[in-house]
Amino acid sequence: HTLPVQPSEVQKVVEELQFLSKILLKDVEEEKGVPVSQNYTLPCLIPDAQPPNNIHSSAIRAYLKVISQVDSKPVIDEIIEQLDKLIFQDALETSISMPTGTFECKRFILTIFQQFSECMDLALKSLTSGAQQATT
Amino acid sequence: EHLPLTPVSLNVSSNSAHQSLHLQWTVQNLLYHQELKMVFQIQISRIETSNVIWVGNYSTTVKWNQVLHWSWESELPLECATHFVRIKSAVDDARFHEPNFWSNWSSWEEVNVQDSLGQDILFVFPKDKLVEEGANVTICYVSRNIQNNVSCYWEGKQIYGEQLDPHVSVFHLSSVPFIRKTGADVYCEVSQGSVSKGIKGIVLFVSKVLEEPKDFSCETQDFKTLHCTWDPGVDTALGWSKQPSQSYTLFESFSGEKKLCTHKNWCNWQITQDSQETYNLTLIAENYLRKRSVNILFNLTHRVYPMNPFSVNFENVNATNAKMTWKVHSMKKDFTYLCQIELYGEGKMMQYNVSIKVNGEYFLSELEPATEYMAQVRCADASHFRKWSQWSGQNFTTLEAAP
Repeated sequence: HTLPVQPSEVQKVVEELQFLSKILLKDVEEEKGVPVSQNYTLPCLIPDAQPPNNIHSSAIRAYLKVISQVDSKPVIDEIIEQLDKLIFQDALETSISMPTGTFECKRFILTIFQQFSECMDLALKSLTSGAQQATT
Repeated sequence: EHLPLTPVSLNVSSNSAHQSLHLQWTVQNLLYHQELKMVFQIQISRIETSNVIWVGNYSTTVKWNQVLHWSWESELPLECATHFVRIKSAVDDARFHEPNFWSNWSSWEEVNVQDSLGQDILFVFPKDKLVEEGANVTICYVSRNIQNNVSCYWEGKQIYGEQLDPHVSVFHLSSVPFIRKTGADVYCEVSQGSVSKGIKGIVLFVSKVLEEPKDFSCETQDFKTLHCTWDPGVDTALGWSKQPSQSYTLFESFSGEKKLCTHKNWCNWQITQDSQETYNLTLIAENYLRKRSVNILFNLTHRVYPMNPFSVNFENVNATNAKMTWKVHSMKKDFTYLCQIELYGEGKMMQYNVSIKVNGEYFLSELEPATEYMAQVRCADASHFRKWSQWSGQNFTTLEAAP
């Protein structure tokens, strides 16, 4: 069970992901007429797992990958590149499919991007608080 | 005594994506060899047969056993109302001496798309419609439970419609604007009391209006290729693969040749050895909604824009003279270049013109000794001046004067 990057580098990767998630969100939030949906939930932190191995990177990657197939943006490719650094070599592949209908797809994308942004905030908090506990 | 010529076997099918009804029918009692001009009157009703919303005539020539076709586009999405169609006919042919009476109406044919909608509590239509900026669009929702409260929003702002029936409301959007490439968002929320029961929405893809290409012109640098350029105006591409950028096609009417261009503001057209001298070129811009074209008629020889001269050199340079030579690209037989030379030195500029057929040379005289000069040359078509080529030039320095 090893990550492609050193544990010490995970925080830097998550900081980059947090930054990129804000850019992603800003793009879609321009569409004022698309409401968020309660029907979609992005897996974020793995319960009972300890930082830095507690992020559902593989599942998150699957969501962003399927979105990039209908809404290709360079920033999504960058995010996937960073996520690949946090995915265990033996991680299971998650399969996600887009909803039907363009409007529902937009809702899905907006919802996932919002949750991704919140997730990265959470992940960074868990890393930094985890690091503080380790030093006290 | 003639049997009444009545439309029979009326069949009505629907195409929801195009919001169109397609009718086909035949005419009874037409004789085997007969071919008659007839007029058909078509009535279309909505919700109930008594509510006629459209009447129109369709005239055509009818042969024996012929299946006739006709289509009608609804401004209202077909999913939002049941439609009924009926038809009657009359002979409209001068050769037919009988008085022209309308036949009986056919029976009403019902078109009900709602039955196939499924069990969701709310539906909004039309799905992913593509329209041009400025179009009028009718949006509607179908709500299963008439107790529910439904509110609808255009780009986040509530809009208000008119009730078509207890389950259906209609929203007339006039002159819709272009919002963004990924479309304008419309959704309706169904609620019971203050509890939201669900949201359904559509994306209305509003395309910019395709513009007529501007400044369309063509020229050749070598009598082998015509290089055409134009200003495409706005790109009408839309996201979600709803509409690619407009395409551009060149069509030459004398040769009948056509070429789909791969760039949006230029295109090369091959000049064949035996091709004509006069060109009638049409540039056709096209997207899913509109086609625009511009046309130019020109003589190839009047559209020469030569390539730059090259290999500019100076021979026999002495204190006061120099021979300037340069090369030009070969064009076609009997082609004459007009070349212009500019000589810069001592803060002055001198200009000379010379006509050449192959390579060029010019004798620069009355120069100052031990002076640095810059000389440049450009060329154009001597017979039909259109445009100078770019400059090509070099520096040179005259020798010291002999003591």
